[in-house]
Amino acid sequence: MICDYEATLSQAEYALGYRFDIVLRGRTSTPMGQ
Amino acid sequence: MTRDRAASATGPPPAPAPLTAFSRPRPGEQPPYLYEPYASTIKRAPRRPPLPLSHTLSETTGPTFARGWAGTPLTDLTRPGTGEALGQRIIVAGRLLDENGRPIPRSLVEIWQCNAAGRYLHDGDVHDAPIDPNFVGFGRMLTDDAGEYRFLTVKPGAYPWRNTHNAWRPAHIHFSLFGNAIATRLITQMYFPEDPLLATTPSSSPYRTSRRGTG
Repeated sequence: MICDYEATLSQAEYALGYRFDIVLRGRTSTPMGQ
Repeated sequence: MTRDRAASATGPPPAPAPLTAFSRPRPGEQPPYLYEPYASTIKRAPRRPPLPLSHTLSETTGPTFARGWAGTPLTDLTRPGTGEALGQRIIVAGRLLDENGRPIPRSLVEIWQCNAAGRYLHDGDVHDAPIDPNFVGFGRMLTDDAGEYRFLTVKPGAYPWRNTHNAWRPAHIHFSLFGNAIATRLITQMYFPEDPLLATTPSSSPYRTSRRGTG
């Protein structure tokens, strides 16, 4: 549930980039939020 | 008119849709419904164990919010139409994956969040922090053919949530996902790395990082 800062996703002179992949169901599923 | 005669009048009935049963969650895959340090779970959690039911056709086949169902995409939360929202501009992007790690294309992703001061644009939010007239805090889009989504927004602030005295909720963005079928529906939150509030906020399962398909 914690994203990663990803420098290559940032846009120069404009915005910081964060990556958040989500897995629906299964052994590696993203936990539901509370 | 009998059902057989109705069917013959319009040709052979269509082939039944293939049924896909989703595997049941294994112990520990999802947090428990009841976790007493998180006070609001006490009222929400069911008191009896759930009954296992077979998946129904509509659970395994749809609705899927395919292209066109989501309406107009809202991918830029920083400019709702009047001026520019206050706060640190951030890009939030990632992939939506199924239980086998395959990308899920053309699936609805919805997000909502408070503004940079920690205030939601909602009547129920009485936190004494300013409303930003240029920030609504809601976005939606369909994933592309590679299962990717991307939003431009501002970093949300932390806010007090009264779980215990002086408890502050770490900055987060809420996510709603549907996937390929209603049985894969997930509501979750995205937190930010190295937030000191994560260490003092009760969670019934460890906060996990999202690294590349590991949730």
